[in-house]
Amino acid sequence: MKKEKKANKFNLKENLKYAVVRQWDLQLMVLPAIIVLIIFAYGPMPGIIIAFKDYTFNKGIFGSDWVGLKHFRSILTDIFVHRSLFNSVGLSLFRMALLFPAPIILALLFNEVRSSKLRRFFQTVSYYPYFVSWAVVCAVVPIWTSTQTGWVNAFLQTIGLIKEPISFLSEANMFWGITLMLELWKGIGFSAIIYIAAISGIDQEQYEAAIIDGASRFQRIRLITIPSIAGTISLLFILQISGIIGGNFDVSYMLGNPSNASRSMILQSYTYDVGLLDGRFSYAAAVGLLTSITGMILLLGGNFIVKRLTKHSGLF
Amino acid sequence: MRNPITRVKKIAALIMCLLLVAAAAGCNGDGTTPPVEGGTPAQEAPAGGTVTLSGVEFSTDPVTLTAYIDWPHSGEGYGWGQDMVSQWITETVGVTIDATHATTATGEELNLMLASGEKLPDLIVTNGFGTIVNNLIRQGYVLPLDEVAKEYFPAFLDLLPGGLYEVFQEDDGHLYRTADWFADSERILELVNSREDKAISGGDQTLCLNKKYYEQMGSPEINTLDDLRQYLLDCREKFPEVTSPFMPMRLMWDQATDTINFIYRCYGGQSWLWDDGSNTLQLCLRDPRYKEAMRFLNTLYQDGSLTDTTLGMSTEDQWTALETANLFAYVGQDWEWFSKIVGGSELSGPVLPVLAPMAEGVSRDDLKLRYNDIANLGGNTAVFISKDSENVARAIEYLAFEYSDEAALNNRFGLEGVAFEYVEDGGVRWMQSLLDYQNEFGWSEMSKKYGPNNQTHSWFTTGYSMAMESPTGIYPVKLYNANLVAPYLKNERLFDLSKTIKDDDVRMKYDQFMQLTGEAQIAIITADDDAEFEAEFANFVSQAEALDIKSLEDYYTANYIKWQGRGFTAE
Repeated sequence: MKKEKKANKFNLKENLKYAVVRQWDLQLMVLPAIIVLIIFAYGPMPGIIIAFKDYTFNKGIFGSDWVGLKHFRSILTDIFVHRSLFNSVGLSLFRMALLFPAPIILALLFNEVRSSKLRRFFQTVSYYPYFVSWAVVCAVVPIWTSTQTGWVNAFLQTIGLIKEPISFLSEANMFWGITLMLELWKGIGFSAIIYIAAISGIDQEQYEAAIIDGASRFQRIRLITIPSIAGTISLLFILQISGIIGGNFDVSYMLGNPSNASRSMILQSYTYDVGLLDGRFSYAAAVGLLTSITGMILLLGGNFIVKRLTKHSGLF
Repeated sequence: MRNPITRVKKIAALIMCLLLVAAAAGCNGDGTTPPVEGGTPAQEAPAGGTVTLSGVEFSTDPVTLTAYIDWPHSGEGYGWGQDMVSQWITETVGVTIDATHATTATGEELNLMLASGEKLPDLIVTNGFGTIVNNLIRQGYVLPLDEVAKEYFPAFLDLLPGGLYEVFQEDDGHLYRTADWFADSERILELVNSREDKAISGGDQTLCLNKKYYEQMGSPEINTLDDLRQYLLDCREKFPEVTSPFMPMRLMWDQATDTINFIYRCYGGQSWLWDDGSNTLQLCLRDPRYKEAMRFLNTLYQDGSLTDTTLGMSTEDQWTALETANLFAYVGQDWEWFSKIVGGSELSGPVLPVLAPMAEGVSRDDLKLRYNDIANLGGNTAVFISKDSENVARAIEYLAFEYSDEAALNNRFGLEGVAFEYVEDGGVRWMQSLLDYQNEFGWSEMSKKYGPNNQTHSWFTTGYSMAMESPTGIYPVKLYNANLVAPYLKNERLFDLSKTIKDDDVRMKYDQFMQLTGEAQIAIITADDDAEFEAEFANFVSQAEALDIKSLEDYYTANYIKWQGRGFTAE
């Protein structure tokens, strides 16, 4: 028994030897990703210190004056941070409520299409918008929604839904709806792929047995398909939670304007404006740091809750 | 036999390594702009010679100055030596500019350039106000122009437009940047006097009416704001198919054609900074006349003469509305309409500028319209000489050259005899051949060929060159408009105070306040009833107070007093 335990004991030297010598080709494959991670994720981390300094270009990161929590205190009174936070969280909650289930439903629907040709066709059509860049989408939207020449207003007027053209991008209250619609259109097909993959991994014998037992199609979805992909769903849900105070920078930045700023400004776009455009790196770093810490807390909290509420294990 | 899977893995690993190497190699780009092909190489000026411009001697020795121009996409299709003016500059003073243009957003790449410690070019052309200016100056990236001038080219200080030094002088007593659209008030006054009753600017805003509807309505007198309101109501009743009855061209205080500011002036107000008579500056939201101006616009909204659609129009939508004449009236400049119609003239044109309709109890003697494009937009663009410049002497000489009358006129209008000509009143106007070319190929192509307002060299249009433009030069109707508003024009400098904010926290407060204002004004104007109007206005004031605008006003007042101490007035 003791010998067995000893044999199972982790042997770093052996494992390293096995990993480096025997699997050198695999290590080589992962090397670029590790290097990228070190350079772009871990390398800049010490730079976080500028959130506690009054960073100036000429003094550099470590030579700039230490100001402690000055920038964090400013954040507390900055009405634009408050607004950005509200918009980021608000949009994310809607995203979780409306956009998160959409690809799951689509994947379930695809799974029920009997004709494989038809299924592949719809699948291709649904994920094709994903490959249209946000820059292109955001360039086209103002043209489509123009009050003078846009087809959207012309169409809505023709079918009698509106009497006067609506300036969609100037109406702050419409911005969230526009963002969510665009995200849904662009992302639903691509996001469904991961669920389709999970569904394809389900043992077909379960369905056969259910059919013999007289289960309806809806019952098979409810009792076999959904429980079988619940692990994948919970995993993606946890990741979604961590992004609650993130947001879609592309849409906010490119479709945002002074008229809709009260709803389009999110933390990322505000950080970009303040940091990169205004050159207030310390303040932007403080906002970014707060965002990251909150994101991490949400990730851990989400993971904890998922682990407690479901039998499926969380991320860690 | 070798395992085929192992072979595939090795090939994949090799590809990954190659990708990594390729990516690393990509990081090593020197960022230089590829040379632009085409264009006629400029003839070089003779070495060792001099040329006299505006009474100042300039060297003609050939030299190449490097420059970073912080306007995204401004370099696309442009190149030094392609247009007539840059060729003239090289031929005249031997200067060639090797420029790199921003590609993303103003400030972004320049900030990163500073942060990374990259060697700076000889000249930096960027936003004339904001944190970037403060960073460049305060952190020692740029040289004091007055000091440099004293050492290398004293005539630079003589060629500076009067007042510029006083407005943009730093607390250390030095001047670090140039300013565009800046006018020497005395010189402008001379020009005004030399032209008798003619105004020097045709671009001043007023109320513009759609002539077609106005004539069909029997050309009623519109002398008061109530007249305007009633006119719009009558028009809408008679022509219900017009969907944008009244169109404000801009709704932001710091814009030259802000409609709210125009209506505020109809109530006797002035700039959005307001001297209460005790040398203390206040923001106009504290002025009851400003609230009344907002109330008037809200009344138009409640009447249905000002609509959500019109308020939400993009600039392109506004142009379309102008082109299709889908409106009765707008506040702005008449050229905004004329410029959309090739060959438009006073007689055949669709626009009729009329003088500002006044609020009840306010006389036109109280009306103060500002020079939009002559004097009060000074400093939107700044040019600096960087600390890394290896050609400091020639750089300051080049900036002096740009302020010479010859260079100012050529940068603004192109070359005399080819692009512009002098007219009887002493002003200048563009030649018909240039206008024909512009009509055929567009403004941008015209600029690339003839050189006016070309971003490769036209960095600081002077107030003098603007004032030299004959109002009758381009659009005949401009003279009409100019004469109409001329008696009420006022040279204001209070706007420039925002451009000289040196404190980053105050600057942030200003940006936030402008953002708040832009949003709040729309909410106030579009209130559905009087109670909502009052609530929105109170909300605006309360949010502004929460931003601590008092400190912003204090800062403005301190700068205002500082100006006065330097012998400079705000008007």
